[in-house]
Amino acid sequence: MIYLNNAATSWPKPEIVVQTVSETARALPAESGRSAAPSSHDIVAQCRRAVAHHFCTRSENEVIFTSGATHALNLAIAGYVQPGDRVITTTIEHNSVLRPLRTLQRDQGIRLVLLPCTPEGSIDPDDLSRELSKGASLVVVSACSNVTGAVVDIQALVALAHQSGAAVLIDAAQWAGENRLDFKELGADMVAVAGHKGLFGLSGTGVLLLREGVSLDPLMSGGTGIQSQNPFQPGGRPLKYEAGTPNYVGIAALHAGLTFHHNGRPGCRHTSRSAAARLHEILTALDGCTVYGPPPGPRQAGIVSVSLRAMAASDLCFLLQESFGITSRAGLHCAPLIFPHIGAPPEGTLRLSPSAFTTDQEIETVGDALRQVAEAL
Amino acid sequence: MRVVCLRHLEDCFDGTLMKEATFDEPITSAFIQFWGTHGALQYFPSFARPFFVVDVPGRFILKGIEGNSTARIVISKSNQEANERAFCGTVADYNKPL
Repeated sequence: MIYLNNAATSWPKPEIVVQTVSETARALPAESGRSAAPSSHDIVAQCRRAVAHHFCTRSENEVIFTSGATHALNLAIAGYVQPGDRVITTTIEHNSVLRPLRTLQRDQGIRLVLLPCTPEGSIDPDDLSRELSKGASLVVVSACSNVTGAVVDIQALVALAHQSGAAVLIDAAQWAGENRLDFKELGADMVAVAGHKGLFGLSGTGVLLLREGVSLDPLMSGGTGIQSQNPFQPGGRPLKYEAGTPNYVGIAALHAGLTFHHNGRPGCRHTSRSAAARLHEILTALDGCTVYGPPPGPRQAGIVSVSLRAMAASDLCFLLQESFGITSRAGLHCAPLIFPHIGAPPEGTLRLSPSAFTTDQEIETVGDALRQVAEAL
Repeated sequence: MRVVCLRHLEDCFDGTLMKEATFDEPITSAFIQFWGTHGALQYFPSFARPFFVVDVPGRFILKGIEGNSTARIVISKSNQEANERAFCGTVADYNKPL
């Protein structure tokens, strides 16, 4: 089986992650505040330190653990936006951005602006400038498209937004991992990260990087392990945003995934970008195959979206799975607004998303399979 | 040949739903070609595991792999029962004793 659905969730997981999951599930739970175990065994604190280091935050207090990027985005959006606010987002966004914003539009009367995207699936800073001139409290934008892999110049967008006094939330669900993300240097106010994609952790883990000085209304209240006599959710970080028992196993796995990256991704010869670049090269040469998004290079984050003449993406996905043992994904990829802008069919595309574990041979096999299908059509 | 089970897989936003059809015997090349008389058939017998998809306009789309005992069917929600009956009836017509 060849797995090219890493944009949904990464597989396989590095051995260090698998081992850590097993060891943590067998070990006594240990977190300061919830047990008498020594703080050196505090899985949550250790991982928070590792996340802070990986994303270059100003302090560990800027790291909030969540159940995933969706939770992080919901916390940021619902916690920041006030009734009547004007919020700017884009047509490349995932439903984990669009749906919370549209819910606030419906229920709280926020004014929502959707920026168009380029034919590659990126965002033109001039489009943002124009809308910022009309005022906005928040800009929400992805670091790259989860459909085309197009990289967004988030550094430029953050600078523009801050010049206008708007805060910025970056959806880095598809970006975090192999791609560098320096939270301090970027200057964004909030960044949402998935643990189970490029960071190679488990589903059920994520992070909201929350700049010091930015305060959100928490989504949930509940146990924090300490300050139990406080009738309300404690105000300090990270407890204000982390009610309930942490996902110890998932957080330990996330730490292991970060360690895997810091150790140079042992056992991986390539990056997802280099694997996607070869795929792009093969597929653009196929008769009847349309590849969406930017060509390989700095504007491409390692996702290949295609359509094949005379075959629906869903049929092609099924065919690849059942006839060739290749796992991909077809459809709108939870980002329904991008398709008219990139010239793709309304029913969506076939998305092929390799990881650092994808081998040269696997890419060639996928290329051969798609060549067979294209020639047969 | 007959359909022994139609299992719901998912509801689609475009007003269709996807089901998995289980047959009482594996799908053969002849069965696939039989569908060519009922709709627009795409059949790829040269693949290691031959794939087919047939579009019966206004009723359903059936896709599967030769040799399997299951296939996927995408049915319009409007007239769903009639469309399912039409599908099961067409399957039953295949190799029906004269």
